[in-house]
Amino acid sequence: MAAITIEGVSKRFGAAMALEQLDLNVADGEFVALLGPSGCGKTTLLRIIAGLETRSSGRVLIGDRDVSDLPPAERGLAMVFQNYAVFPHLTVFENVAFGLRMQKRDEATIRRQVNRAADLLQIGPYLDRYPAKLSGGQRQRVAVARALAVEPAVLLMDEPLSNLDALLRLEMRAELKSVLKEAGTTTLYVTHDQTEAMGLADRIAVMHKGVIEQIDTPTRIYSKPSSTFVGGFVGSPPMNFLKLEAKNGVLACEGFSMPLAHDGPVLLGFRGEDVRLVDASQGLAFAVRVVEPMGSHLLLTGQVGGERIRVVAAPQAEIASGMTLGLQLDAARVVVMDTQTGKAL
Amino acid sequence: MTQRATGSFKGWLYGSGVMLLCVWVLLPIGLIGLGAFGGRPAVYQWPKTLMPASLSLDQLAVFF
Amino acid sequence: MPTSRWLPYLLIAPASVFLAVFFAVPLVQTIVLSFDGGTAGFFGNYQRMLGDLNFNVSLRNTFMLVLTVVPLQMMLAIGMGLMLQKMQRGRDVVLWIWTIPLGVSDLAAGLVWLAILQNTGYLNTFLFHLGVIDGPTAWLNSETPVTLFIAVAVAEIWRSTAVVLVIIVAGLQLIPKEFGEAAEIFGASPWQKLTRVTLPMLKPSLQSALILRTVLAFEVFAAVYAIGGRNIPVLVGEAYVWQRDNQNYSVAAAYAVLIMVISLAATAVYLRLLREKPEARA
Repeated sequence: MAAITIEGVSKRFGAAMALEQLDLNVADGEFVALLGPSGCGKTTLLRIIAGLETRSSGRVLIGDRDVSDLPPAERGLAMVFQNYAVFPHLTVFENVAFGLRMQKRDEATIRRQVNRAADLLQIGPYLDRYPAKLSGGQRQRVAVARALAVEPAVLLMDEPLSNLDALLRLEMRAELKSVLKEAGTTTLYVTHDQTEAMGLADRIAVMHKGVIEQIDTPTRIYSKPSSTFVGGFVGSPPMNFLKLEAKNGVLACEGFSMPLAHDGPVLLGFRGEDVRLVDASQGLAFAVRVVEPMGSHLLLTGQVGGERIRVVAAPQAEIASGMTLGLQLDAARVVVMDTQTGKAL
Repeated sequence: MTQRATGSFKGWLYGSGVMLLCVWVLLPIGLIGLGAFGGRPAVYQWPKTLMPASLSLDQLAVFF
Repeated sequence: MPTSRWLPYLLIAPASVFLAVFFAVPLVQTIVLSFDGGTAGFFGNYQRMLGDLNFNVSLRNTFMLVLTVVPLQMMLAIGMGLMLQKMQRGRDVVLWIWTIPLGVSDLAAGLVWLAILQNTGYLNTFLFHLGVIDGPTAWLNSETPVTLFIAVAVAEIWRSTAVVLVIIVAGLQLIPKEFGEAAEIFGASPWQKLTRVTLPMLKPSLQSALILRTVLAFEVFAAVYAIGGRNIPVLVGEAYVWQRDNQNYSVAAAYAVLIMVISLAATAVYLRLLREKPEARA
């Protein structure tokens, strides 16, 4: 077990900057998810930590050791790939044992560690089979078992669940969480799926254009995004933003006011489920355009002023498109962003 | 970076291997290509020169 | 619908007719011819073939050439394929250069190497300038069987490695790079990566290349004749001599059938030895 420290890591591909002066600390035993849209640099960062990609500048430390210039095998880490990379010509047992065999461990140790990893991931019955006979989910388990069998200080996972179908993904997600909790391995997990990141991680690092926009607990990432990007990327529906004018230390609109030490136009961000729906005579006038019954809730899409807003209502609420409702905001559950930089004030 | 620096000798080795194999493929073709312009005497010319002693296009006449 | 039931057969009919007329019929004719021994009986031609002064030596030469050329060129092609994989720039140009011999016919390849290796050739000129030899030296006659054999093997390797390379390059490209990366992360050395991951995953390509090259190597002829004439007899060469010089088509057919049987046997051996475990097939 060890912490991961990234200090000022940059990566340039020709003229393009894939990573810019990036810092990141993952504590010993912590599970951090790197979340971002494709092309944000999250996989590049993971590959630099793994030693599969060279960095343009900066340092990578695992534990107290500077591993920046070490080959992958000497960094004391293991990795799970998006396409599993489970060797088709080896049995499940030999796949899980691969890392231990390369370390020239004795047969008894190999057998013990493989069995332990196999038990943890419930692939014991398949140890003699070849990967071609396994389902996608089972191959994924083999890949994770292979990684855990070497008892790595650090586990890197690159979109490990994205090749699975939705139901299996949900199942594997819960299982992965319990397995990794039990193993206590420091984990860095790359994903573009926010529900995966929210569900699994102790902390989420949201990446955008080669920098980490925000790193925090899932709850705080969700409710207190540090930028319009994070608010818009995390959460379904994404955060709503209203353009308002702050005057004389107060930010106010119909049925809402809060003190704000900033004058001029700002963006007021709020989550669709953090508003109270009231009569049209109170609060912000919200013209409902579309009503989508989602089972657990109603998703309302409509407009406030000229801006599109998505709001969540109770499933039994009697709301039809064309109605106008009132929105009441809670000052404790809003964020205020700068209109220019998009950063929280 | 040091990882690349230690790899530079290897890189040099790779490069010369690739070049050697290119020469292995191309040299025989080049030699016969030049020899084709030497005319009949070039076949028995000794010692051979890279460019045939007497350049001629006679050999190409067989194509016309 | 009845028309759609016959359509597939209709569509493969031209190819089937082509194969039947130009492949199956001559094959049967050759086999029939080889057993048409006239007064000498059913196996008369084969007896004559076996009794031929050159038979044993040509059989031995052919096998020795196959056993020398094929393993060497497999190793060479694997090395070349791995080099190409490592290259970041100029990969296409180098691949293009390395596959040029694909376009050189075997007779032309033989002549190219004859020009280099003959008495007054480029190699001797080079050795002469180095002071190793005093004048034109013969390497390619019956008094120098070893150098003659080496010369033929070199010409064959030069000419026919490219086709192995093409198959191996195609096979290497089918292996996702994550397999190599996984091996690296879990501590495999470059050699272990090659022997435990790359080569096993390349097995189908290696099998195709081996079968193709072995079958073709048993048919080696033009390059041998260009370089050594009959100083180094090979099976196809003997078939040619019986056909052209001796005008005995039946014994030539017996040689042809023998070569075919050897090729089929070699293919069967490869298919058995390199068979993928059915459970391992993806």
